[in-house]
Amino acid sequence: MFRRLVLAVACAGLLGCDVADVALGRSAPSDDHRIGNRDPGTLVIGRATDAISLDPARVTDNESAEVSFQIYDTLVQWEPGTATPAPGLATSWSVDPSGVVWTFALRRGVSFHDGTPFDADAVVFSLERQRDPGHPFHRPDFQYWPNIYRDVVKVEKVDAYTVQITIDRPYAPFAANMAMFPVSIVSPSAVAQWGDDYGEHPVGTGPFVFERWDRGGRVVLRRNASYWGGAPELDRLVFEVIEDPRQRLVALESGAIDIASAVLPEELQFVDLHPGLVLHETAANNVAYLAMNLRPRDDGKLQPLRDVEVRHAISYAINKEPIVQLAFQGLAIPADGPLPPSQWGYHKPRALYDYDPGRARALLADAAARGVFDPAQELTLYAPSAPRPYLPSPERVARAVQANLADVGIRTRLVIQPFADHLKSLRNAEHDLCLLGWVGDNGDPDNFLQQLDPDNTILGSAVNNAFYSDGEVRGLLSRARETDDRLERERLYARVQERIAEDAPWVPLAHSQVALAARDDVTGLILNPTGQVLYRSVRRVRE
Amino acid sequence: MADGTGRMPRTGWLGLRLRLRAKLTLVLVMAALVPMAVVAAIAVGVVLGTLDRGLRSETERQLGVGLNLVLRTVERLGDDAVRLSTTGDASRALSEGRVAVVEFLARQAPQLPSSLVQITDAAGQPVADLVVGDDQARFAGLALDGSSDEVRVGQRWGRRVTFDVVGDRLVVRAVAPIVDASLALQGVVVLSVPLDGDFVDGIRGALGTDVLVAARTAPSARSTFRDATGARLPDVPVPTRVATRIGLGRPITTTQSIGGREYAVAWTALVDHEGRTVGVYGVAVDRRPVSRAQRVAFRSLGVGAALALAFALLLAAMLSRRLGRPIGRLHRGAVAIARGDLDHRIEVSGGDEIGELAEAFRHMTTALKENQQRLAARMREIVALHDAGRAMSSVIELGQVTRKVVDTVARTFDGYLCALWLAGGDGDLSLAASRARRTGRATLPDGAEAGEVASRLHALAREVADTRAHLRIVRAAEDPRRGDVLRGAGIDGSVIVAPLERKGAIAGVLVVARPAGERPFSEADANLLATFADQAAAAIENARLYAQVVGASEELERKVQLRTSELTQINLALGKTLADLKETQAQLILSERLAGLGLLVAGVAHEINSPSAAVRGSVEAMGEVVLRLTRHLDALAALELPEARRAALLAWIEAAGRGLAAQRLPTGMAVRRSQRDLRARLEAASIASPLEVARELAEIGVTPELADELIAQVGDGPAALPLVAAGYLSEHVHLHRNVLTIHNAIGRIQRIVGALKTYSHLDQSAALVESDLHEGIETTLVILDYVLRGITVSRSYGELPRVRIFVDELNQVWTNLIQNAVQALQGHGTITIETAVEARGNGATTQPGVVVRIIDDGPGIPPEVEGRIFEPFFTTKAKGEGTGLGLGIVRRIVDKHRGEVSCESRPGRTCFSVWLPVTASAAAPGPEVAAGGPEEPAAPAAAAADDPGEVAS
Repeated sequence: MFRRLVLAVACAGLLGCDVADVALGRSAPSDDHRIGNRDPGTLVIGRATDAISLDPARVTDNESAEVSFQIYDTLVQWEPGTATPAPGLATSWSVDPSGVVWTFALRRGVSFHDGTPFDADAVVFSLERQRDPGHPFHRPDFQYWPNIYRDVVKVEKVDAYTVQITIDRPYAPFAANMAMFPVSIVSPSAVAQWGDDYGEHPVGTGPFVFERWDRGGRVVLRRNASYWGGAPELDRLVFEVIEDPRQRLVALESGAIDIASAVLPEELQFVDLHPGLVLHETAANNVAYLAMNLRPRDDGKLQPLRDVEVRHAISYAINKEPIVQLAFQGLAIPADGPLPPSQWGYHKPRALYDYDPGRARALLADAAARGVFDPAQELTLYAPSAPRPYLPSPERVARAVQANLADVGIRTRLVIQPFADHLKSLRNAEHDLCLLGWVGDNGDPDNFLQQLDPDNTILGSAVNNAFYSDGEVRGLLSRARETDDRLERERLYARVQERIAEDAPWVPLAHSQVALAARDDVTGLILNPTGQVLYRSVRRVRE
Repeated sequence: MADGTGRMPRTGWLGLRLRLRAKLTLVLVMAALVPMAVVAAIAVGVVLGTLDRGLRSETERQLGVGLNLVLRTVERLGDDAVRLSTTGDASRALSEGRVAVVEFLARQAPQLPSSLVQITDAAGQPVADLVVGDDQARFAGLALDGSSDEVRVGQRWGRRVTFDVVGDRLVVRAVAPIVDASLALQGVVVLSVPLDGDFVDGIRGALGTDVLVAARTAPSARSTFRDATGARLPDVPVPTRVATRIGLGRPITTTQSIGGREYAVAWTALVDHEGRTVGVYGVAVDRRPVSRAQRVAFRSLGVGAALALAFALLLAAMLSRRLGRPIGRLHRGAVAIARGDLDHRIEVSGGDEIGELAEAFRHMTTALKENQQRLAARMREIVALHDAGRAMSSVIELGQVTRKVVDTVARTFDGYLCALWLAGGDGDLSLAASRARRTGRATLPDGAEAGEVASRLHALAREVADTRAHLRIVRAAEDPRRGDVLRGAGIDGSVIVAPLERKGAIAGVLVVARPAGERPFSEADANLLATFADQAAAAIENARLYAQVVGASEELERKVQLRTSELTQINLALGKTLADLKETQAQLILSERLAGLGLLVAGVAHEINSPSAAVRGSVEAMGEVVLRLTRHLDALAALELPEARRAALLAWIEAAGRGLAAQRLPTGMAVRRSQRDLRARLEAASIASPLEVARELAEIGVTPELADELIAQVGDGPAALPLVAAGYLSEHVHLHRNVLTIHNAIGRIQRIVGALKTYSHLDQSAALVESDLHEGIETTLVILDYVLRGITVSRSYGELPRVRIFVDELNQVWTNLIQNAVQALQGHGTITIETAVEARGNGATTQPGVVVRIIDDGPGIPPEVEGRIFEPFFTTKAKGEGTGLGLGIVRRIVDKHRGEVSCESRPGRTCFSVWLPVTASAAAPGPEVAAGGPEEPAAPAAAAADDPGEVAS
């Protein structure tokens, strides 16, 4: 009797301790002084605007792409943190000797979030609905396909796990194109079910599953526990719209969100000084440049820009440092060529043009003596009026360029127009000098370098707005497109970059960067040079 | 029960009650206090923890908010610097000179925060300074020179705001470049503000709590603390823990006494633009409200606990008293019952569980009393039954048993009549025993004989035997149905009739009657009688069985005698059959041997036949040859020759003829070639009739050398001499050839006869002889030569010692095995005979021996018959081809030699192995003296005749 009593007391004691522990343990963790006590399995990303549609075929905006990138997989993916193509939903691929038939071996055992099995039919559906105007799910507003994938002739199923894509000419970067979000593989059954509303009910095979979308507010994704590449660490991923950049930072500071995207350059100081915040800067994979029009004109006027010495003089005359520091507010690096250093294939050329107005003047004096340059001649300098992702304050840069050129004795007249007009003028070769830039789409060097391809100088649609027409560059680019050997391509592109640097049809100005502020408990964030953010490996931990 | 009373604890009721109450009280107090203590502990923990955590959490929250305020202030300073630098006037003022700049600054001052403003030119040379605000001393020593890091950043068009350390002061610096429209650098603007008491006062105003700030290197922090008069308190020392650990991660919270009060202070690091910890920043929250709340919580808990303890004690005392008293009464009652006092009464009132317990106690004592009485009655019956059983089992003879039964029943049941009927084989009841007895006054009416009375009760017995249920009649006179029967028998009292059952059948019926004056039988009596009847039935059964056993054993004895004589006769018959069988078997063996002999004789006859034919042919030919020789001799004699030369010629011819006869006859081709050659030689020697001479010579194989010798002998003789000499030589050769043929044929016949002799060994057939196995095998091969035609015999003999064997029997073994192989080969193939020395045995006890293997490359023995081949009479041959005893005999003979015979067969290789042991003496080299040892097998003839079983073994 007594023994039993003692036992009972002991049990009560233990139980009491447990209860006490639980009670104590549950009283608010002392080390978390954020506003609200959010679930550590949820990551909230604050960003400026909402997605437009989550049907990857319909959109081109970054916000939609960022969400799509979490929900969907592509056949090819970029190696995390790089722009190197790696297996995605395709485990391997090859191209036939003619260079036009690409065969993709598909990953087995993968299912869409709605349970539909992933196979060759899904791939054919996802691509053919964009390619074939007669496809029942084709829509005229599919934006990307006609631009990037118009060279695709057909997409065919070979067997349940093999797909063949035929393109109309040998094109080595094609594998990289298959890593872009518009060719995400969608669930055919979900597209069939939702029709035009599919963009609000996306179903992919990616690491996160679509859960909810409050238009204009939040997109909520949840963890795909059976993701083939390993389940994400997070339980939930929330994309929240906070338009005002300052408000975004306040929300981050208070802990209401974990990541604030597109931090303003002037806010960087603040993030730098805040002990609880970490700044992630990454190349935005773009280039801003000053192009010189080399197209021969028959109006009898002198065309000094066709002279390589004059172009060299201009290259020496432009001071990139203040442009980077003041126009980009420091969120950029000075450029020495078309490719950002983070892009594979980047090559630092031997011919570098550091700011040297004295040398520029000397070269111009020489040119004037040779009769190819007239200091009295006024050249036009075209610039867009509205900011571009690669050029945040175009007019300011234009004025700085004008001042730099004036300093060495080149007179210029600014022509500032809305972007659409600006593009039109450039395609029609109305300009002498112009400011423009390029955002890399697919992580392939060709994407940047094709802007200097002589094949792209057709008046009216010219992307090569320097109208630079060098036979060697054309040959090198064409050869690089036709080989799948990465080393060989790197070698060819190095030669292209050397050649461009010597000929100086551009003054490459800057490669801008994007800054993303995160709380210091966010680890495992991977930013691809192609602009995607990988949330799969992200964890929230207190160190 | 008496023992149980002795073992009861002798503790007094008082002692028990005290212990019970003490325990009850303790339990109740514990029951109340333990949960209370637990709850109190949790409550205290929760309250204290929550208060502490709340305070810490609040402090850290304040710290976070405060830090944001600090950073906002810093950021604003940066904005101010940028705004100042980008004001269009700035670059113009700089281009206009120092005075313009000073004017520009003066114009801008109202829009600037309290700070030190410096403007340099593009080369970094200071152009103008301005302290905004009136506290010049606060900014003393903060001015930067042109080579400072900050100015250089500005010169590179950079903008920056960061923390800087000047001495042990923390300073915020904001720098921005001044450029013109073409972004060309004009100068740099730097704003500096020290993070001192004045700075943090501004934060305190917004935050509502005291704030501390210090450079990383400073031992104490500037703070917002003021005393009661509003005077600033001295700097607060930075705790070592904070100084050493700050910047390593999370904020640090300390409890510090500042100005005589307890504060919770949360500290965090201030980092510069490169992430270096340059200072610490803290927020202090007064601990007094928390301490007060903790004291109140403790006091309340203390009072509550005391009250609860008092209440629990009171409740426990009351409850234990209420429960203890009636339990005491029950205890007393239980002790009394244990003592055997079943009349003790327990008085407990009340309707609760204890009252019910007391009621149950009362029922228990009543039931105990009744049971005790019933037990005593049963005891008596059991004793009676026991006695009766003992009485019955004391006798074994049926008559005695039945008498014993009725006697015992009459006595035990105090009856005046008892009768026992036994059931016969057909179910009829017959009275087996009866007994009348005087009981008190009563005897049977009219002094009737017990048997007679009993026989009148037969109908009653019949009824019970049919229903198989006992019958109790309380008063015979009043029973409507059976009254007549009973009265007829003169029975007027009480009667029980019980059936005797054994193995489900009625064995008999037992009747007992009491006179009318006695106590009538009760149901218990009836049950007792039924039980007794079972015992009686068993006893009667035993008696019957005994009688049967006695009868059966006599019958058995008789039958055994009968059977014994039958068996003797059968045995005799069997003996005869056995003898017949033995005879038959011997005949069979004999016939097998005869069959072998027949084969042997046929072979021998065949063998002898051809040489004797050859002899006859040769003899006939020789007659002719002799005639021709004579003619040639005559012709030779007729020729003119000196006698000495003739004799030399004849001697040469005879010698050459013998030599040529031993050579092989030349072939036709050789003859023709030789003839040409010889003719040439003869012609060269001018010999007459060279062609004829050459033909003669060539046909008998004369070589050129021999021809030259002949030419030398006859060359200068008469012209006819060469031809005559050649003819004579030729006949000589023929003569010698015939002689050789005859010689060979006779030799062959002699060899066969010799082999036959060796094979049969007639002279020593019954003895073990040390001999050479190869000899026996070879002899057998000679005898079987005629059946071996077309078959290649290959020998692979090892070096064998001589072995002690029964030679002729083993020869039969070889014969049988070789014949078997020949039959298997069907006219073509190879028989290989291997011999070797081979020891056999298992490890320790190996036996030296030799093995003979007879191997053929025939089709092999089908696996389904391989196991049976050594069985006698088993044969695969067609009827008449074999007796099927061959291999059986082989086995028997080998067994007799203590050897082993085995067979392994597959298509292409069938091997029979005969292994024979070599005894020590036999293995010894040198001549052997035959001696019978203990291991020597029995004489073969005797074994074959006496023990036919061995053939089949």
